[in-house]
Amino acid sequence: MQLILEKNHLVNKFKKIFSMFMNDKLALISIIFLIFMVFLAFFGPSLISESYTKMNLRLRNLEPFSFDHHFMYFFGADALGRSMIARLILATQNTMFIAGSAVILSMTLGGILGLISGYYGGRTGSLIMRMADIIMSFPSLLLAVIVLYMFDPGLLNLVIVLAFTRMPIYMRTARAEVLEIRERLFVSAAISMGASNLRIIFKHIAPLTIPTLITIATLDFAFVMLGESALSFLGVGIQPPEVTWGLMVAQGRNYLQIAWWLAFFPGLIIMLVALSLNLLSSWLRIVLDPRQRWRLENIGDKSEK
Amino acid sequence: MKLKNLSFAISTATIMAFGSLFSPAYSAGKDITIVIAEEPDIVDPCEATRSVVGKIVKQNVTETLTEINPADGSVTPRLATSWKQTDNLTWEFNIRKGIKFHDGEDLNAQAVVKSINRALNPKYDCEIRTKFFGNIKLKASAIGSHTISVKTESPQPIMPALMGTMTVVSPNTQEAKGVRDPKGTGPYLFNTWTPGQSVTLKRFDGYWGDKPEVENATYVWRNESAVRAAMVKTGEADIAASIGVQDANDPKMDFSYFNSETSRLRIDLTRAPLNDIRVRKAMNLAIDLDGLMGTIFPKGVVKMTQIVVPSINGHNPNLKPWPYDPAEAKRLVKAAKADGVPVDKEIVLIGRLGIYPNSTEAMEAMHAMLTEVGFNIKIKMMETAGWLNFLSRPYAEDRGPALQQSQHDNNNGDAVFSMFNKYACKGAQSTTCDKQVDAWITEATAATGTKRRDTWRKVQKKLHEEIIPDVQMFHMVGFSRVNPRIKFTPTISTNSEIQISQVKFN
Amino acid sequence: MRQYLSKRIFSSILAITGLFVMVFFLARLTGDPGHLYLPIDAPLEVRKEFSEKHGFNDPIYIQFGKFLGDLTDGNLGYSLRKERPAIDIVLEAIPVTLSLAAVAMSIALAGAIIIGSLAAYRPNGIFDRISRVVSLTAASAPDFWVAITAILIFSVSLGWLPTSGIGGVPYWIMPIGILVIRPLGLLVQVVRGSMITALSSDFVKTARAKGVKEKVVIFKHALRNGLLPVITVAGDQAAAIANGAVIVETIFGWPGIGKLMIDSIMQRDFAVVQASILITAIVILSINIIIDIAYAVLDPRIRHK
Repeated sequence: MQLILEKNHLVNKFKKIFSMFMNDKLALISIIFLIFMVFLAFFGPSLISESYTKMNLRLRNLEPFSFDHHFMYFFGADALGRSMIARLILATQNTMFIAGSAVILSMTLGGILGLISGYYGGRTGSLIMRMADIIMSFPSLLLAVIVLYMFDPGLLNLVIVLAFTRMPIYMRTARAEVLEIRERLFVSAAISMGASNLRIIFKHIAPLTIPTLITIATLDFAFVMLGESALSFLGVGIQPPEVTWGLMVAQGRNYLQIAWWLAFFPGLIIMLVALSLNLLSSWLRIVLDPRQRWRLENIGDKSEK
Repeated sequence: MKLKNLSFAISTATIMAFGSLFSPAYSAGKDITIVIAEEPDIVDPCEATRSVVGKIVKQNVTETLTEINPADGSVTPRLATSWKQTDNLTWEFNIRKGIKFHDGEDLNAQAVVKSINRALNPKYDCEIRTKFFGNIKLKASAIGSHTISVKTESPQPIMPALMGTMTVVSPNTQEAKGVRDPKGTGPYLFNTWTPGQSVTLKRFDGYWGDKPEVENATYVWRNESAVRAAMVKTGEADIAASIGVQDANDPKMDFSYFNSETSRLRIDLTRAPLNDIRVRKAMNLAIDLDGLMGTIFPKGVVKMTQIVVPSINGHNPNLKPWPYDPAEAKRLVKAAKADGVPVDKEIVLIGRLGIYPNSTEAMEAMHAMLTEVGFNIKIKMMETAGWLNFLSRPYAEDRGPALQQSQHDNNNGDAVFSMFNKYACKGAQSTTCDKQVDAWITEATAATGTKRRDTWRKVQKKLHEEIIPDVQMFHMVGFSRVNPRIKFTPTISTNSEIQISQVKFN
Repeated sequence: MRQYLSKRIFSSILAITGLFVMVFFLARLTGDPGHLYLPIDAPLEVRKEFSEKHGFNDPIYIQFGKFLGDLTDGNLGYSLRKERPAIDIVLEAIPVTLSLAAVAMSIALAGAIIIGSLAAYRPNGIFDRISRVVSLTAASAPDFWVAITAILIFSVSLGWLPTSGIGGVPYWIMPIGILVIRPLGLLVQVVRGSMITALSSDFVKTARAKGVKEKVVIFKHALRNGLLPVITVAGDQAAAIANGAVIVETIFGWPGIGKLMIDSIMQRDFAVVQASILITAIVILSINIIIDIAYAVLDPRIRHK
């Protein structure tokens, strides 16, 4: 009995989210596009045959939109004659991995540090916030360049550097949220019941900060992608034979005059993904804000009538 | 922090934002603008062997005693009119008479000696010293009003060529410190230098040679090749000294020229599996050089057989480039493997970003072709400083097998500037050691005439056929874009100098 | 207020010191400048002598001690490459970047306020949707790619603008345009968000009821309150603009601090790296303090505290 109720509840919740998507068509398109990209990231590389990713100088800088070759060459071929479509799919995995891990890492670390800073306050709290100030007071791109000169610009180091430079925003947001939540009644109740600090932070406070942090993270994903491509422009991003969209744009910029498509398609995808994330994030902001949620719900009610 | 400085900075910012509303940059009349790739950090003539400094001051502001003829590598007079070797260790140079420096001083033997001593002063890290005279103990002295003698501890048969690097500056030039307003004898005065923006040169009316056509020359710098090419196209500049092959798409303006660079992959012969000659042969056979020409490398490049270009004394014209034979390469790899050579071991391919246009694509192509015949290659692209750590001695003890993308520039007329450092047992970037090669290098360094030439040729042949210390690639070409309103033909020395006195107007 | 300010300045100095020490050690871990400074063919003896002479062989803590000693004499070091005091070089470059950033930020703010307010007037209306998609798309493109494409279109093909360099108004258009794009896209969204809140607030409703003109309502009553969050976000963009300046200055050949820092990091010219980081951090933190003051002046709740 209870199971059915719970299931019904879940179905209802899902329906509600779905109808809120239906009321913001842009957000709906965005989420479909993003799900497709994630699918590509996971399964894409295993779907393309090796012959399209191999060097083939005969097809070098092949023009796009021609039907003379296999459809994998519909977007043309790059400077080494590799299919643009195949390269873009390969790059999806790396780009998604780098941006995704960097965002999750910085959200987790920044969130936890912000929680601690906000909850304990005092010297620990301000020490952590000074850390955020240090990172914020300096152009992150240059910091990343210095660090990547020291260590190899491998996948992992890139993730760490990008995560590090994006941390302050989570630290500040989490802290601000905690300062507010701490004053609420149930926290004092938990304290008076003798709950441990850790328990209060992670059981009672953290869950309340997560929606805001996730909204920021959606936006940040786009920034990290752009930051990664700027690093490639400066030559310290990911190195071949690995590939990301950012690297493809950076390498393709040399060919803008004779083969515009080398930089255009990866640039376009970066833009589309970033745009979708932005749209999704503004949808999320409305959904998670009780004062604004009616904007998406009300219209739904009307259409149901 | 000094608050005064900061407020100065801010007020300057405001002035800059609103004060400089209109200032034309299009060059016209008898003035030209040259766009180069990077900003000079210094303009001292004793750094003129660095290409960015050389393009501005060499033979424009300051001249050298001798000059290397770009066509055949022969040594021709400039500030010196003639020279002779008086004994094994001594050379005499006669200095041209009646020449004045830009600051009015006379050019005489004393001035030349002072200038040489300034360049070789160990208190100052002048590149002429650190690059060409680091191992040479030298004493210059005036033996007449316009004659100097140069005495060395070991025989230097190519002293006249070496003097082609030695820029002569006014005796009033400050010692042991770089100068920002060099004074030489050249056809152009060093006029202004606005850091971050431009350097200007102005015609010197008291020049001893022919009066050049160009009155003022302005140097600016832009990092991106596409921007440099665009500047000449739009008329903002007259010469883009070097642009990438992909930007050289206008046959009316773009000139290609051999730039005296030779590109190769250096093989570390001390590490398995690279210590096996079959492996090194296989690597050379695996590269489809014809496929790379006209695609990733420009059309005009020439397959190398040795590190020096054909115009250099000591180049061996009888060597044949490696053919492309992947089947044979695979066979060699298999044979080596059967003998227990660890051919599956990961070999790092150390590349340098931007060492030449398309350098990353080139390494990706090399990676693909070497992988094809069965090697396990990993690309590692690095920026200059990181790359240099791997290039020169002392090498790390725990290094693994590596190929290193490198490019060598020798337009100084003789193979001696290449061979010791690259291939002798103690050479700064050598990863090979062969007693015979070492003996021949020593012999050729001290020899003259045909003996010198033939000994170098023997070295080249042995390296090419028996030692195989490189995966051989190309003698490279560069591209310059030149505004049709002027006449300027880039040569093999355009990499290191741009003689403005040779620019004519159409 | 005064107490708050002095606390803020003190913590900023702390942050700068922390950043500075970090960069000092990080930079020295990136390798011996001797390799880069000397020609490839320099003999080993010359290399050794060079490192000795410039103290690069000393343990890093001794180098740091020497540096502190110089610092107390007001000496920020001497550029090895340019053979000039590092501070002179930095003070030449700072005005260029400051003027670029100031102009770009003013334009971005003005544009964002206009577009954002208009969008907020009818949330989810046609103008809102179009402005959101366009501004976010533009903000999501890799800036170096946009810059080179713009040069090829506006200078080479159309011949309207000079390709690069510093000079009169035409020279500013492209660099400023590129720098404005990203902060503009973000700020439009922030203005829109806070304006929606402000427009639905009680005092705007009262003003409307009183029959105040719609334009006056939007641009006077609502905007004043809607502006506060915008100022905070604009402050956070200060460091982001510095990131953009690195790219813009590199491509357009502007002798600013961004290009100077990248070049000096690449050349391992430590004195210049340190001096420029110090000055940049001071500038960014000062801007943040000024914003705090502006915030306090504008927000009556804080002012009265």
